[in-house]
Amino acid sequence: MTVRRITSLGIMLALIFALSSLENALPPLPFLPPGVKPGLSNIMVMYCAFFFRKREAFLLAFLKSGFVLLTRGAIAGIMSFAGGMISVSIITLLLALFGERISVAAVSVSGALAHNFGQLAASSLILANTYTFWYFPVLAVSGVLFGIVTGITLKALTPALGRVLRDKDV
Amino acid sequence: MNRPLFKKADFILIAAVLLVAAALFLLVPKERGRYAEVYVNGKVVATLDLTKNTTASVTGAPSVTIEVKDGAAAFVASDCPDKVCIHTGFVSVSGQTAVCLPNRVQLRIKGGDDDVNLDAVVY
Repeated sequence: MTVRRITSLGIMLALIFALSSLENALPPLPFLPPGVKPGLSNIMVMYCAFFFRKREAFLLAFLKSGFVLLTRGAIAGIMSFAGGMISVSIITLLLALFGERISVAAVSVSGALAHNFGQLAASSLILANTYTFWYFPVLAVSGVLFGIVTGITLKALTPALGRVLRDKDV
Repeated sequence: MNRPLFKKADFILIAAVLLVAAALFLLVPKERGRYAEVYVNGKVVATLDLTKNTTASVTGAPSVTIEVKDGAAAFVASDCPDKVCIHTGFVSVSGQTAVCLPNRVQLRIKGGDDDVNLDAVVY
């Protein structure tokens, strides 16, 4: 592992922490359903899955939930872990299966949907019943919308990120 | 990045997901509930009549307060960090659920046509 790679992963993790904190510090937007967030830090997890090793994307998602655990408590940490792990699993699986043939939006929308589904499953475990699945249609629609938003953002940011985050020295 | 933002197949995927979400949403009957059940750790600790305005703290989760007002119920106080439960606001439709995950409290509206039974819905 090159120094450049380690530094790049560190910058990605720092960006994840910053985006996650920023999103959490903003007041809940009035037009969004309760608990729904854009998931901006997933942009960086996806960037890592696209351009670095798959296991490094898992590591970033894992460390993100550790950060949430420390800053926002046990329940938020569990939710972040559940959503993050299932989301990064789906993202890396799709990239492994389809490689260059799959679009950015297909990956980001699938990742967002998986994230929401994972959190719904985790909340059902915490609450010991499945009544929260009532919320599934809301989370499916918001997953599609914010998946598209994060996909567009990732595609737009990639040239700029690529100048800083890379594996090999130039 | 050479990878395209969208491909034709994506719109099929997106349309399918939105269609399923819309179908699930439409299938659930939208009837006003008659009472609210309060769950802590998956067990019912209180049943609140929605016709009687009241404000009460939850047995087993004393920091949580639930208010019943004009046929609807809501979390109005909680010591949780995110306050998603309070932001959910008043719920009144049978089956609708508000939750406070950190306190493991759930507020579920029941009794429109009693429990949601999809087989019985006819439009």
